[in-house]
Amino acid sequence: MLNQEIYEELVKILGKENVVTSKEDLICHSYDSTAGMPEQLPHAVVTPESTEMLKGLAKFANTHKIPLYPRGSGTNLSGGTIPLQGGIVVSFSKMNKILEVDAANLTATVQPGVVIQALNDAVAVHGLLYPPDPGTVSTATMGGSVAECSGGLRGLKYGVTKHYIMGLEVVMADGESIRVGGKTVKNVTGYDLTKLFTGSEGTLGMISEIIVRLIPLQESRRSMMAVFSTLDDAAQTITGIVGNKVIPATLEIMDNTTIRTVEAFAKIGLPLDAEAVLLIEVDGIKEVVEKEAELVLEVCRKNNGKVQIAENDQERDKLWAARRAALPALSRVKPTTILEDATVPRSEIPAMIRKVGEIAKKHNLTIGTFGHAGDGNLHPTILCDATDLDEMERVEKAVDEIFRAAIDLGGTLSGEHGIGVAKAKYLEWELGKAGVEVLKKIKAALDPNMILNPGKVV
Amino acid sequence: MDKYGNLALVQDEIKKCIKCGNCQAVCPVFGETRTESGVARGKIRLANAILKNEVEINPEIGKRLDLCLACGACSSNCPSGVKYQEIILAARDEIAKNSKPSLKKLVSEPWKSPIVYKIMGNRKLLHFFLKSAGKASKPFFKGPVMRHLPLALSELTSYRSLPVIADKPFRDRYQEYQQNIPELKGNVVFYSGCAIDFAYPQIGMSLIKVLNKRGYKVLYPMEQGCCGIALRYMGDIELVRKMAKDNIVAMEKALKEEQADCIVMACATCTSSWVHDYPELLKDEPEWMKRAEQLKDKIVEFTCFISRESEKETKSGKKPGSEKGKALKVTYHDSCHMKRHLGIFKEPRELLSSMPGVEYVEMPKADACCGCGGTFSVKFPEVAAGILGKKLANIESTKADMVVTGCPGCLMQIKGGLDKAGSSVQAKHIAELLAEQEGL
Repeated sequence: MLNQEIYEELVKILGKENVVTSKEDLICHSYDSTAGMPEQLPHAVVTPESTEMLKGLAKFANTHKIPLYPRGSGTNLSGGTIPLQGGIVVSFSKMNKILEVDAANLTATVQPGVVIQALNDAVAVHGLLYPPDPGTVSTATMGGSVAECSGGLRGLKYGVTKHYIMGLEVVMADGESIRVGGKTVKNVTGYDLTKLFTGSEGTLGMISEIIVRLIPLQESRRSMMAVFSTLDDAAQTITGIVGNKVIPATLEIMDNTTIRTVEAFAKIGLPLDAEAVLLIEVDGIKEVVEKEAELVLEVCRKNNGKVQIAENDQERDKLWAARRAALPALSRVKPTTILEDATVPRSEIPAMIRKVGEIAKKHNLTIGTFGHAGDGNLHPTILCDATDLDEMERVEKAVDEIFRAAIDLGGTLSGEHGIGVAKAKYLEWELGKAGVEVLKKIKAALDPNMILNPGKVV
Repeated sequence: MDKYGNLALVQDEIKKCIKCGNCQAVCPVFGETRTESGVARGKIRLANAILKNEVEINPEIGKRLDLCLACGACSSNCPSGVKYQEIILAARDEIAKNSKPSLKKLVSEPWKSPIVYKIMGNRKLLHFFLKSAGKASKPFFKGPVMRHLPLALSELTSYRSLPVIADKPFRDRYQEYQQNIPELKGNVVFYSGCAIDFAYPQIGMSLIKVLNKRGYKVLYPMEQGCCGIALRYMGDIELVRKMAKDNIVAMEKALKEEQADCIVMACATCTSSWVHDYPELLKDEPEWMKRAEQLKDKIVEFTCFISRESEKETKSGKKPGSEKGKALKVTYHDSCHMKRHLGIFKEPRELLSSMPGVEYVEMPKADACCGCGGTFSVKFPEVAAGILGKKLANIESTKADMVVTGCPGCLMQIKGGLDKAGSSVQAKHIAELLAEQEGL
């Protein structure tokens, strides 16, 4: 129950309509999209409408040491928005305006509550694109996406969120606000705070405004799907494509378990004994796209791939339906779907996929692996039942081993989903004691009272 | 105990929700409120909260679970295939069963009072009430539209005008009308539903003319009553079961007596009620369920009927006539029941594309809900107005002269909104347009 005094203070800062304490609404903010996480009721949910309100809120919370949990759409996959210690969920749903599209400078300025697709709809009118495209583009907000440094399918050619954030306005734990970065292409004034807050998962400051970099929309694209009977052939193809100096916009992979599940669900004609399917898209200027598509085709065929090329948009959509069906198909097999994010250097993809297969067998689990072969960001997806405690124990062991495997192959715990609660305990495996100490020092410096999303990351 | 009545029985569906939040991308209510309880993910969690006794059933949770159009957009975007409709109905059933009646509730939600239920559930009483209201209100409203209702009812017309109750309902007009069938091919039974009967009788008249032209005599059994879908969504199953059985008896009798082999319907909502809800509601009474299933097979939605007849004509070598003259630009709104519940969306478009004198243009997000949702548009006028506003903007963007649809509920909402906004765009039921364009 929220203390009456605190409630009244919040109402003074934010206005009555922006402070919610009914149990029904608190329940709705006790979870996010992450599977297998504990739920926790916050004491209140607030919906600030401006930076000023946010600053007042932070100052107040800091004085009284009340935890704040920033939340966009709550579609992250690392427990990043779960209010673990109770406290106040800060929903950015009302700060959802696109403030400016500056086509001449190739920038746009948005409030954190803007949904990624809404930004792209607004800039497409100018022939521009904001490239980062996590699977949740139609639901995730820019604020959340920046805080998690979202990845997406275009990572290899276009990079990820951090490559597109030029500037931020951030409200600090003590109630001050700062502006970092800006609209200039180059900016080396002070430490790179823009990069520090990007991917900070709401633990170092609350993002209240975002300036993004835009690029011109590509005029042409070609998609194809290649089916391989062996993982090695697929692996050689991936290496071969990049070796031929073609950087595809998208290069996705699906393993045998995923292929079988997708085929059972969508019946698109995928061969059940194929060890891997690659989905490739090249984009750019028409003549270049034609040339690159030819090269990619050649590499696929040289490595025994059976290739289907899309001749128009409808055919393209049909090919991509297979990749889009991956998560829906997998999630219907069993009630709980644990989507992992272990990432390795591209050359280690076949090794990682094989290792996941071994781990699945060892712990008697069904794990389908699909993901971004272009940049090594794989999604081993464990299909289980949260109510089967014995199975969940095996899942925990499997997850540990998957992380261990990724790190041993020179990779990382999380390519794009973030650390949140879910992976906090593994940080030392990757960063070492000294690395984790540095994280802690930064956190202590910027949020000494530990009010910003406590219990996440560090 | 059947699934409808007991929330526990939809546990498996609740479990299927992986909380991905994909529903947020398409939910029209979430588009307005941007609150977690405004979208399927939150509502499923609330249904679970009732189940797990985390909350007591109270007006707060009732309000949040009412804040849903049951438009089905969420299900169509759900990777796990959660049958959300079953969950929300079961939850509302539980709330209806366990809510204490109170004066406060009666005043704020008068449509949930026992008197209203009694009237709605009694065919003769309902028809009497509506006919009387039609006659009594005549002196107060000029023309076919109510733009401003007085005092306490003013919210009903705050963002869209409502049709007046027709001074002569369809059932009376039917009896007075002399059908004109050049070459009789057969008989069809017509089930109209309340909206066509009492608010838009001209839709029924258009349907008769169009079917007559194609060689069919239309029989309208007077014993038909309200399909009961409004009551179903408010959680009163027993009453709806009774209404379903009465309707089944009426239709069976008509089909037999008139030697008709199908029942034509021109209201997507009623059609969905017969096709989906009736068999489900009567699941525990196998004999009745069988009868509902058998009737289900005889039901043909209006545009599908026309489409079938057109195919027959084309096969027999006849070409559809075409009128010269300025093409009327027409766009089409997919009602939620029509597209998502019945899967009908090709036939209306084919019909419009081949209609004489009509140029068909597709609107953006043609299948986005109009915000009517039956009583939703009355309970939550602000949210409904926002959703309607988006639909009207999409209609205007096509620069069409007219928007047509296959559901009188949607028609009421869209037409009312266009009228209130002072738009020159017309709104009609597709049967009306067809009759006009065929010069009937």
